[in-house]
Amino acid sequence: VIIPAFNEGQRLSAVLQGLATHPWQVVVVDDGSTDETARVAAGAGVIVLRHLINRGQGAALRTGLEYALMHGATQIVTFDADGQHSADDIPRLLQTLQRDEAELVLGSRFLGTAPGIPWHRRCLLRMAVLLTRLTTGLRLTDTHNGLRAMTGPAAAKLRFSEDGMAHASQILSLAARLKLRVCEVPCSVRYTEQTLSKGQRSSAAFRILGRLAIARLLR
Amino acid sequence: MTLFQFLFGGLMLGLVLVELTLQLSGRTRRTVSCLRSSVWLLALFLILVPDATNRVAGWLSIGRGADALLYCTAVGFPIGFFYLLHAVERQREQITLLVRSIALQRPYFQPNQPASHTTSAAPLGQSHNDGPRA
Repeated sequence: VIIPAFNEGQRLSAVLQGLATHPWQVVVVDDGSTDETARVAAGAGVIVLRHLINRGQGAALRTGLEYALMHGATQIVTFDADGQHSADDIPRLLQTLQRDEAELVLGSRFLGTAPGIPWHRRCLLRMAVLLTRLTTGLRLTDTHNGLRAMTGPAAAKLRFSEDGMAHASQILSLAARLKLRVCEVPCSVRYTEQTLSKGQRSSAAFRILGRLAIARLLR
Repeated sequence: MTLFQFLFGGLMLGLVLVELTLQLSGRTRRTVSCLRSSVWLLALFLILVPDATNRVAGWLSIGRGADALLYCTAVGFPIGFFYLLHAVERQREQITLLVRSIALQRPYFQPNQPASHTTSAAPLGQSHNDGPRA
C-alpha cells in the first residue's frame, strides 16, 4: 500500500493504525514534509521514503510505485494520507484484481458513499468524469480518487510524469491508451472539517486543466 | 539625432561595452557573449538608422517597418515561449527524477534493516540527525 504524504504528521498516525490490522506492506512516501510526517510513519514501523524537496502527490506516488516494483510487488494499492479512505475498502479492490477482472481497479465514492461531500466538489468531480469520458473513452463514475489497486505489470506500464494532482487524469489517459482493463468498485470517502481544511481547493481543478493542456502541447 | 536615439542608442552602446569588458576579462562564455552583443548591436543599428526597418519591410512587401517588427515579434514570441516552456518542463522532470533516485537509494526507514544499512535522506534545510534509524 503506497501512501504519498505531505505535512500529514497529525493525521497519518490514525491512517496507519487503520492499515496495521491488515497484513499488507505499507510504504509511506514523505514528499518533503516540514513537519513530523516521516517520523510518525517510521514510528508506526512502516517503510518510509523521503523526498528531499516537495515535488507533488503524483511524484511521490510514482516513487512509491517504483519502490514497490523494485521489491517485486504483484499487487499495489494507492491510498491517501489524509484519512479520507477506509482500509476496509482495500480487500474489495484486491479481490477484483485477484479474480483477474481488471488490471487497474479504481475506488468510486459515487458507487459507494461520500458523506459530507461539498456540493461544489461533487459538481467538479462530475465534470472531471465527463471530461475523462470525452478524452479517454473510459466510462467511469469517479476519476480523481486516490484509492486504486493495480497489478505489478500494469504499474510498470503506467509511467506517468505529472508531479502534481494532474497525475490522476494522466493515469487514466495512459490506461486507456495502453488498453488496460479498468473497473471501479464502491468505496467510502469521508469528508470532515479536518480533511477539507487541507484537502485540495476546488480551484485546483483549473491548475490540473492547465497542466494537462501543457502536457498535450509538449508531448 | 533625436532624444530617443541619444538615450536608447547610448544604452545599447553601453551594453555592448559591458559585453566586451566581460569577454576580455574572461568572465563570460564567448559564444553567449557574442550572441548577446549581436542583439545589442542590431538594436543600436535599428535605433540609429530607423529607415532600415522600413527598407527591409519594403523588400518583404510588408509595408511599414513597425509592421515588420510586429510580425517578427508575433512569430518569435511563441517560438521563445515554447522553447522556454519545454526547457522548464525538462528541468522539472529531471529534478523529480533526481529526488526520486535519492529517496529510493536512501530510504528514511525500513523495518528489520540493520542500522548501518539505512541512511536517511532529510529534506533540504533539515539535519540528517533528526530522523530515526532502523
